[in-house]
Amino acid sequence: MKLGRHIREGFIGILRHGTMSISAATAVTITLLLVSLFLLLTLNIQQITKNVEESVQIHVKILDTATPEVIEATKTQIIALPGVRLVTFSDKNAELDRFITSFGADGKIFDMYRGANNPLRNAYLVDVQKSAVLDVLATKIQTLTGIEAVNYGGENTLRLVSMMDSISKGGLILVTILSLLAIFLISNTIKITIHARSVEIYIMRTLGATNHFIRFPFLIEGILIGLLGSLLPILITIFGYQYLYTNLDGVLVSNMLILRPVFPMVYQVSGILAGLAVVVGLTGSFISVTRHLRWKR
Amino acid sequence: MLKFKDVSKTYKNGVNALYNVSLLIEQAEFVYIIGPTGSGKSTLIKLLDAEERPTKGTVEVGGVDIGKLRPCKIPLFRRSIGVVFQDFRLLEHKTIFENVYFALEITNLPTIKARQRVREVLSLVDLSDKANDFPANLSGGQQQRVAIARALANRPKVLICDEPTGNLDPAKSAEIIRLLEKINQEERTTILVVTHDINIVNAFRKRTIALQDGHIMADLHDGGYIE
Repeated sequence: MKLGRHIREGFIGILRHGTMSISAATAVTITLLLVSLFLLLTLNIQQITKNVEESVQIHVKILDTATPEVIEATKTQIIALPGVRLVTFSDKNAELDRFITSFGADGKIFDMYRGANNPLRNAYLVDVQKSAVLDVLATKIQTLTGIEAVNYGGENTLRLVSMMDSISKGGLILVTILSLLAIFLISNTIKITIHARSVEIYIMRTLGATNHFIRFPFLIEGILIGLLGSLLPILITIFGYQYLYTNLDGVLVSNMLILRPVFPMVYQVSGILAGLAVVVGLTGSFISVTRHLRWKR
Repeated sequence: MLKFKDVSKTYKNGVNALYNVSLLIEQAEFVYIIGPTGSGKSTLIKLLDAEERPTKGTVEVGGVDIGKLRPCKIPLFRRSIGVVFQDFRLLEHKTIFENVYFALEITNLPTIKARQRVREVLSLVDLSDKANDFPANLSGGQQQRVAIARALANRPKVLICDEPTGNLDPAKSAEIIRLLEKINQEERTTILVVTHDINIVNAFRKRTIALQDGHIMADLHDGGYIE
């Protein structure tokens, strides 16, 4: 097998067609940079949405008159509702603890309510599977026996969640469009590169080179150009995101918006970029060489 | 060696290039094909190197009916003939050595033998010292000699030259024809030179076939240009 020869020819081809190789690789670089940017953005938005959704709880106050049996029975009923992930019972004392902590250092003042004077109610903390069902669930829980009041983050939480959802969907669509654009742009560049070398291909044919023999080095060249072009985007992804993450302390604006950890995400994104580069380089050169090889006899 | 039998060629766009051409060229002959532009010279070459199929009739090279060759056999056939063009058609991003070597590596010849053959043909055309230069650094005459060396590398039975002197001055042209004569005599290679260079045809007298409007107008065994 002449695999070694073809690979060597691929490398030589890149070196001897320096300008062409660089212009093709630059097209890859620019598009992959955009893809990387939007990929990182989308992944983070998905993460943030998930965090927000997971932190949303329905707070259910139980009537003071409810007997332990009722409390237990209602809990079972809530768990049975569709969309409920977890129900935790939190008694008066635990509720007061939560209340006090929510005021921080000033909360100590409420310590006097501990014991028999505690005005708070026992409660269920209901975690949901999807934030979209929050309001429906809240209404359903309200109708169960032994319930005094139902409270969830309300309209604002819902709005934030739905906004995140559309941003992440939009981001995904953008990534898809950009990837298609990248394939088009790069295959176009490679097409121009190879068109410039159609003479070369024609000469090889007149000398009696088989199609396979002509095509192989070009495919290697395509892959190498793709990889060459993905080098910079990969480095920027790994170090750029790391820099950003460290400087932002891993959060965006508030503590609720937690960014994705640097590792292993940057490696996964880099893998996607490299894979995309190889596929695009390979298909681009395959299509354009084949076009010249079909030409006449 | 080369046999055209009642060959006609009509292109897809309706242009008629050859009409009922019959022609026989023996092994080790040296033949000129002359004629004005549009006389069918280029078509003749395209039929010989399997770029086109005859519309009618058969073209045989060394007993092989080229019109019937399956596409996958064409590369193999092309290795058995040598073709030299007016514009040299060297691979500009390969060195002189690599250009000649390419013709051999496509045949899977072992590296050592291939390299040895490259040196042989380069010394035959007297360009051993240019082996590591790129085509752009050579003069036209030198580039044409490289093209001839490359065409000869696979020891073809036939060497087809399409206007080999078209881009060269008279002195360089004579040099190329002398080289072709040497190859013809030493290697017994059949040589077909398509040209409209009157001086060459008159100075180096060979069998001369004149084409006009797709017909063979004359076939002179003692040569000379026909007005």
